[in-house]
Amino acid sequence: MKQMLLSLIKAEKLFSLKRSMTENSKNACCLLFSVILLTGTVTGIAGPLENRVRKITEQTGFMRKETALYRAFAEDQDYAQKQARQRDLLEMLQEQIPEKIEPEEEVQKIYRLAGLHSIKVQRCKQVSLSSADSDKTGNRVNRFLWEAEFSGTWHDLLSFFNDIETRGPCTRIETLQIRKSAEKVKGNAVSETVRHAELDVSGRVCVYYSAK
Amino acid sequence: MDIIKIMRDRLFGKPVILTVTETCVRICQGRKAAEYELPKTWQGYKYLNHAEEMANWLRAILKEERIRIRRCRIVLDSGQVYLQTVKLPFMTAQEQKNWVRWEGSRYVPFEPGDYLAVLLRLGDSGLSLADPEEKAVDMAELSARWQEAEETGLQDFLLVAVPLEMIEVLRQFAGFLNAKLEAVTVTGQKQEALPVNLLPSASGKEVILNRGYQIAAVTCLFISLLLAVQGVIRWQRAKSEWEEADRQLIPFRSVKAAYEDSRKTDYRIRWYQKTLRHISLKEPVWASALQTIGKTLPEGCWLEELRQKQPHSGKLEIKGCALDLVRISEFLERLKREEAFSVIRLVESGTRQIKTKDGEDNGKTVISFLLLAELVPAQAEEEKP
Repeated sequence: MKQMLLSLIKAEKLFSLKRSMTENSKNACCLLFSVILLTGTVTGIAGPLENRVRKITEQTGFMRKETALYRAFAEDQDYAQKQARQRDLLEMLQEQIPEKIEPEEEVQKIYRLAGLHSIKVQRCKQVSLSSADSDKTGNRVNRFLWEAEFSGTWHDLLSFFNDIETRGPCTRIETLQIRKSAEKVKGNAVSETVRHAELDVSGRVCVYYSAK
Repeated sequence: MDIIKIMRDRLFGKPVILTVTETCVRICQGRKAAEYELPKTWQGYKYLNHAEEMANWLRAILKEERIRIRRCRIVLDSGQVYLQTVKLPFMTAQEQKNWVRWEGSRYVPFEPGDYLAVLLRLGDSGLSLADPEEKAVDMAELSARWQEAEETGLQDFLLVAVPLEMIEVLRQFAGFLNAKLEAVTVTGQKQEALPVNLLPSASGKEVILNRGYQIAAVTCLFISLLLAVQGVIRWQRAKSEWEEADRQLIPFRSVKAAYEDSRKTDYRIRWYQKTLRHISLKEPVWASALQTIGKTLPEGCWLEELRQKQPHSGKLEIKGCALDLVRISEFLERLKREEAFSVIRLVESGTRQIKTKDGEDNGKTVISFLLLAELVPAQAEEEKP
């Protein structure tokens, strides 16, 4: 209330000032008010409206692009087939790099495959896991590592490697070393080495999985 | 000109004529007219000492009478101005002005420079104006009148003079009324307003300055209005375009989810392919490489050790023996022909005695070798058809 009264008094003072002003002062005041109004219009109306119009225009352009994109997508006759293919491919890739793996299951798999190919697992020890790769979106690839030693014939090893590296989650063998078994160092026949001789294999088995 | 006058009347209202006498004030706007007695204290022309109070009093009356005052003309009675009839020969408007300037002070009882005077000819057909701005002088008529003056001799003129101080007070009075003072005139003998303006005419410089101010102010106002209207129109247009685009997009809302799902799947596939490619580049697949080595190994040549040279690389050291050099060369050639290796080279070779099972030399020698092979990185899933 007090503020209102003060404002009224100020307004009254302004009016009384206006009444006693000369023609020139009045004109100058009019011009000043016009300039203030122009400035106010530019900063208070035209500027914000211009910004808003720019934003709306950008949004409109984006929406038009979206419409064109969705229309083309909806009109794509092969969409269902493509989708199915993509899904299959994704499933296959997910099998190669699963989101989660159980180390125990992987060890069991190694033993099972070794047994299947008459390979003796002499040692299999899990070592600390490490991050192998990551991207900007936060998707990372981790891996489990086992230090392992096997023994078996050349032929059996080949089929064992083939199975372990191509089936199930992505598996690789690091620091591979294959040599003749110490017990049979003295046997030197070619055919023995390639086909029947017992070979010792050492290396680190890595199994990859994605970690989000 | 009439149109401008009509427009001005419409915009700012018709001018209010205030006739101030010794005891009363008469207000007239178009056909509306009212007369009010001045308060006793202001009678006898004392209102000039109370311009602001008089204006406030009058504003209340105007409000009551519902008269909007934006422009006014003040008519004074003979008691407030100096009137004198003089006999002079016929003169043109400019000559009348000159006479007032040089000869007027002989008749007017005010200090020279403190008053404003005009000369009016009292003709048979009424009063003629001394102010050339009020009415243009017709040259033919002027010549006729000159002839007439030559014949009749002197003519009657009315000299009207008013102190500049009073004009200033009247200006202030109009200012307090919030109105523009257009003219100050005097009542004649028949109580009619004489066609004379006692306000000093503005100088050319002042007029130009005023016009400049007005034009600049109006331009600013016009630009403000234009900008505001243009902004609103553009905003409305942009909004309607947005609404149209939104309307077109509505039927595809359901497609959007499927599209985004598809994009997400694509992205994930790309990520998996990239990751697998990265792993393949770092870690070789041994099964196929070993198979190739076993397949290409010639008779009379055997391997003793295969070793990955460095971790995370496809470099493989192949250590073995052969009965003669030709077999090593053959093995090397065969490996080179295979696509599994990008680089194959013989690093080391030498002769070695063959020992029996008991550890004794049997006199025969073999040639030992060391090959370095580099595996071609495995094809990533991305490159598959």
